[in-house]
Amino acid sequence: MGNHTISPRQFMYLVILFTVGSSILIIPTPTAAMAKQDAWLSVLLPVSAGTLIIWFLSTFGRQLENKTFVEAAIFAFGNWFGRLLSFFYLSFIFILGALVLRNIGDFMTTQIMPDTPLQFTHILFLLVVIFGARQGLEVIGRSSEIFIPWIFLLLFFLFFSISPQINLDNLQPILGGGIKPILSSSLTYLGTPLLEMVIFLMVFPYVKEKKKAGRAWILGALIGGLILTLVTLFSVLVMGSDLTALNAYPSYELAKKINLAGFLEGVEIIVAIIWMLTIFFKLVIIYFACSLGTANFLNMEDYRPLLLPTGMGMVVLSIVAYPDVAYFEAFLGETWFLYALTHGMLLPLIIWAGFMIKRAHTESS
Amino acid sequence: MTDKDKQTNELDDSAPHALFSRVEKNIAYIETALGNSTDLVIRHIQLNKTKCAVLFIDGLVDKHTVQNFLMEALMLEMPKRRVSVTTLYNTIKDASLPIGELEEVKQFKDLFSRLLSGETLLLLDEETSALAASTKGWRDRGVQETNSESVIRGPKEAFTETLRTNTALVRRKIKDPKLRIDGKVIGRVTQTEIAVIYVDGLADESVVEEVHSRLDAIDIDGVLESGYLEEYIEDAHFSPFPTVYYSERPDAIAGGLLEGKVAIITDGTPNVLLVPALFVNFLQSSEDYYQRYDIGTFIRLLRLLSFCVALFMPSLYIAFTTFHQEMIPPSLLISLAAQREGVPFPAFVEALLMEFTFEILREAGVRLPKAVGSAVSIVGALVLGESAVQAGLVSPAMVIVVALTAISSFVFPSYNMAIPIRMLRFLFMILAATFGLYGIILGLIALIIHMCSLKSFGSPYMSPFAPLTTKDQKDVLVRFPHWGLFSRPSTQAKNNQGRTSHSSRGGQS
Repeated sequence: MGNHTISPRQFMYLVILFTVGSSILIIPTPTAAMAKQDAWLSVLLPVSAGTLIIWFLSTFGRQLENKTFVEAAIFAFGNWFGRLLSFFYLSFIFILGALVLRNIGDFMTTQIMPDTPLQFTHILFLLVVIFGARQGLEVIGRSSEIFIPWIFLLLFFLFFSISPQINLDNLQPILGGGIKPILSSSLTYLGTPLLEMVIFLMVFPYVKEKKKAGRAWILGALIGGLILTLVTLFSVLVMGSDLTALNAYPSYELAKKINLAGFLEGVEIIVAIIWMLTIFFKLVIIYFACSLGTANFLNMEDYRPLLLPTGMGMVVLSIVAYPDVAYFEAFLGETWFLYALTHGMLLPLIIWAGFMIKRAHTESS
Repeated sequence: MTDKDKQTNELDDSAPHALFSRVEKNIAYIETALGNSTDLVIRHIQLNKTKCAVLFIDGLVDKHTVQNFLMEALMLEMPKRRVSVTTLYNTIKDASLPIGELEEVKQFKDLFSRLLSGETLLLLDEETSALAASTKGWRDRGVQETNSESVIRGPKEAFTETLRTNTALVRRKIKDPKLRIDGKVIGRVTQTEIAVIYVDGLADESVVEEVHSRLDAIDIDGVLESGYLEEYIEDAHFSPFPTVYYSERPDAIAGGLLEGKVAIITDGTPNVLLVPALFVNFLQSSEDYYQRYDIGTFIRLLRLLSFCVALFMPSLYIAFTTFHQEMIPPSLLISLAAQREGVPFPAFVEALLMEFTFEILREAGVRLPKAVGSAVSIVGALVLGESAVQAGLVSPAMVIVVALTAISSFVFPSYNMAIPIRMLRFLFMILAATFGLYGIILGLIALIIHMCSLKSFGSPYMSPFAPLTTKDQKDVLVRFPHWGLFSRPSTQAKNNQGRTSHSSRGGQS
């Protein structure tokens, strides 16, 4: 598997896509519900705090040298306990993958194709993801280079063409509710996508020039965070915080409002394209990490035989994961942050500590 | 190699390798081997009391050369006094034959390959080596104007079916001594000559080596066209996308050689292969470099646009009219709905019907004799287009979509890039009919991933976009002025990247 490596720039693109993917769907609603007109601050704030998390993860990644996270866990804690810890890590990735898949499925069935059953939407999406993961990381990195300019172009088009409808009154009063609701709603952004970044520890061993890659990771998360901040900001600016909080997909509603000189309207499909592309990349990274981690877990040479079975499990889990969108909103607000904190911060800290001790131990002896 | 092949080879091996000393025996052997073919001409002559024979294949030799130089010299200018056979042989070889290329032949295998490729053989009695004079000359159609890749500005000449003419056409464009032409013979039965051409110092050695090793690995009975070789040496056998570029324009090939690519000329076809081939190469025409850079850039962007139109137009039409009517502006939607009022089929069937009709018309147009060609266009344009709408089988909007798609697919300078589009279009139509835009976008993602996974002789197919090389962007979608094209594409020319000197731009800046 050593034949696929990606450049720091490709890695940065993947981080941007990962950050934006699916969060662009789900971030504006809960933040606007809690922080009202200051929703954008509750995205911007954790973006800066997230730099710290990513700095830790990238340092850890560099210390791991060419070991993946799962290999490191087994190296540090031995065959049994190490595998137990990796099992938690892998289950986190797997569940996250199923949830992300459900995000796009929910969006498609509620907004664009109400008549198509959820299962088929999921299966088709996952087939393409499996195809992508099968080609390996190098190809995924290269295709991100093709799509990134288009995503930026479409985002620019979205922001540019909605700008006539900005109403600055919607932002005021700034900090009207005090700092507290901002802090508590910023936990949502910390939970998704910042703490999910731990998944990149499975990808990091395959990035060339580790030092540059660490910087690329931080920069990618910053750019991605900035995009999400802008999306939230524009949603609040155009629709106001109440309407943003009421809509399941505020950024899609935002694009529906585009009306340039009466001839350019109904272009909300642009936002749908951005979503699909970013979610695709998020899912393909998750998928790659999950099957590669499982392969490490099972001492397998190649992760490719695992792609199809993992997919079958993921489709089922994505459908039974939650009954409806309201349930998911509650889950996201109350449970996800703690769940992600355990697996995205606590688990890597434990393994990092164990890894450092074990490494020092082996070096001295 | 199967057992049977081995046996035939052994049979061939059991045949005598060296020539006999008696001329009759040699001739008898040749006649048996060729099965008394009627085009074999054997002329028995006496030179200085020595029995000799001149052999050639009628039609492959230039009779003028044979008569005026070879026969005349042999029969009129031989030494008058009696000499030994060896002296006679040496005199002919070294002094008296006014022919540019003369080789000694000692083996039958060599003899046959020379005889059958148009050389004239001179056999002497009591001599175990024959002389082969290069008298090749047959009817070919000459260097003519290309009709499959025509340009407005630029050289009009095209490659021919003769390998030597083709190498000369390249050599005339690149007079550098570093231009290398390596010869090869491929095809057990056809013995087709192949030439591998590259500029030493510009081409990546590993690519040259790779081309040689892939060509050497080919074991096939016959090579009738460069397409035979292409399918053997291409990287992606199971991809609709071509990973080998071909052209019949010497300037396009020479331009590729200057970028550090390797050309493969096959005897018997004007289509010359060029590797490594990137996706963008198929969207570029040599004329982009002859017209001024602004229009060159515009046309390149236009080609990319028509690539998308040709690939996605019918599927987008299906997706929008079937699934996403709310995204069509109301006035357009009303007019579309009014047009589709009497059409009995769903949009997908309608599109499929028209696309297939067009593919049939196109194929018929290519194969038909010229005289009937106009009949096809009348039937196609008037009867099928006009009447199908009047009969209420298809809507006028669908005819426009199919027509635009068809025209867009003719924009590419390379015919073989239009082929994947033709085939993938149907795939996207099926995706659009089942999943709407969702299906199209997923198909697009899969398509891009597939294209990113391709490689052509070590170069990533989608470079210089993926992996991104900023320096190479100057000659991809846009074309910088020639003085701005200061370096060769870095994926192909690993060494010697400089192309111009910066001070060479004239005029006022």
